[in-house]
Amino acid sequence: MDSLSSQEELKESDIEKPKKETENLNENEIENEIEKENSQEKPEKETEEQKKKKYWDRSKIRRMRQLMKEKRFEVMIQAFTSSLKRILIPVSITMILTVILIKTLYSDQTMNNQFQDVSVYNENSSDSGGKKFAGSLLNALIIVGAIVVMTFLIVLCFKFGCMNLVFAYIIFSTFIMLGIIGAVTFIELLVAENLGMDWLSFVIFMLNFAVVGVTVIFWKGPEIFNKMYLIAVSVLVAKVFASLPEWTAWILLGAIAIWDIFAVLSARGPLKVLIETAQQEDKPIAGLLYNSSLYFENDYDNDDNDNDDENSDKNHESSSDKDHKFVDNPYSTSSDEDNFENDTNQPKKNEEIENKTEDNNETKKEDQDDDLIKIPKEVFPERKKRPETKKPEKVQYQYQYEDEDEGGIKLGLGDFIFYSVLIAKASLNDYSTVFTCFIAILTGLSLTLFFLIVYQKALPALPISISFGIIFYFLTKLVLDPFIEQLGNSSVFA
Amino acid sequence: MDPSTPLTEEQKIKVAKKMYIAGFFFLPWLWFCLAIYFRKEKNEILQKYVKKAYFGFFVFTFFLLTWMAVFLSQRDRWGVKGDNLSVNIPYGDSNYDS
Repeated sequence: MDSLSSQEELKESDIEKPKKETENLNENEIENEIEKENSQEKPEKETEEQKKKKYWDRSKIRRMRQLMKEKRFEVMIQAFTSSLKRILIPVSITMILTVILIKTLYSDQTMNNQFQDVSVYNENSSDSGGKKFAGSLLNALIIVGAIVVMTFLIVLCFKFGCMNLVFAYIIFSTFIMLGIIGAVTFIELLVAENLGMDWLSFVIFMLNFAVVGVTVIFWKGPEIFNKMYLIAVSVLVAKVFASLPEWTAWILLGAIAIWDIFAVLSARGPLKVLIETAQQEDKPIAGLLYNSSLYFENDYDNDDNDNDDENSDKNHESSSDKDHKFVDNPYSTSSDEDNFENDTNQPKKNEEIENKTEDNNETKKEDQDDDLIKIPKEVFPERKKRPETKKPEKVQYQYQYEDEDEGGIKLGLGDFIFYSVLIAKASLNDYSTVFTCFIAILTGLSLTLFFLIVYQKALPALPISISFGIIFYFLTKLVLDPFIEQLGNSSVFA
Repeated sequence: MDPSTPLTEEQKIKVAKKMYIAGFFFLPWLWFCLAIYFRKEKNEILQKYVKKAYFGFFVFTFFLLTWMAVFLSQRDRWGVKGDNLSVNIPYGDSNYDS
């Protein structure tokens, strides 16, 4: 109960005192907490009371974190506007390029389905609606199934640390894709624009295009090249998907959006697992991997809602295990041990064996320390970055969010691709659907961004945009187009 | 793996060297990429690589463009050989007869 009352004090002080002081106060409080917890850990076993106290401490820290979150909210809204620009511009560029490409290639000829050989059902315009629906549902499910299997495989590899395999595969497939789809598109462009070219320079062009693409996406290169190539990859893949027959494409888009919801939001969804492991272990995810999700890179609040209870449970369990070993050398720190090693050279062999066991203990101890220290870091994320800046708080926050803006909110390449597929499908119809779908997708995306700021966790970027896009496509096609035609016929605008 | 991670000077020189050597395998675009990547570096070695890369890129591009120009203007004279070399043979304009 002690900790509860102190919590209330803290709240009052928070209101009364200026922000800077409260931060110091909070820090001190937390450091005290850690000391308390450390001192609690030293004696033998945990009693029920201590467990209870621990629970209260944790709840207190959680509430403090809540407070910090409220303060951050204003800044987040500011971050929203700036992040909007950073995300919307590349998405718009990708969609515009896709429309231009599709319009140049297929303005006077119909697209031939590039999935004809692999798809189960090939659409005939004479088929009945039910047959079309069932067949294209099957097609779409097969494609989604392939995506699901690949995502699971990649996440499994990521979890078990055989990323080299994944990278090898992805680099290879990116190279092949840039090379072959790029080459096919290039030839189609040459034919469409009626331009001549020789094989020698063609091969050199495509080789350069593909090799530099892989270098820039997966290795090193100027940032602008990286972005350009990511956009190029999205446009090329979108062009291939756009060759799917009408019904299959729309059902595929819907199915992908639903799969995206599951993959990012459900507790065991592969993309969620992927993002969380990446955040916890600070592993960067390569450009092509983080499909279909928007998230904060430095988002510490991400897992506190879901995992806090689990974590605390784990801590309880593991700490009771650890405590026994802990008693063996409770006061030995690593530096002490190092000195000890340097001083005494003679009984090295014995010591080495001892050291090994000690090392084991030590690593476990460090783990535990990490658990304890992590919490204040989560409460004050900016402390991790610049612990000794003495600027006023607001400035610190701004720095933090500027940092985040640099590479903060990320949009998966999968989103780019499927937005572009939608807009490509719309551009095969008419310009009116292109414009409505364009606006619909951007609206959906900014809504998603807004929700991202509000909920502070990884969100699927596809469902809102895609559903808006589908709704607006069919509304435009069925309602707006006939209306505009009518207006044109009766020469209202003339 | 992440292109946005900052590099130390030594790493930069290593990257530049690798890119520069790879550029000799008919990859002038990689040279251009290198030159853009390190254009703001003040390190002398890097600057050398940037200059060399620019030089290589422009020389290669010059020869490539020359070849393309020769090919496009001389293709009809070469007959079957020229046609075999072509990716796409543009059809003539019926309104324009020379």
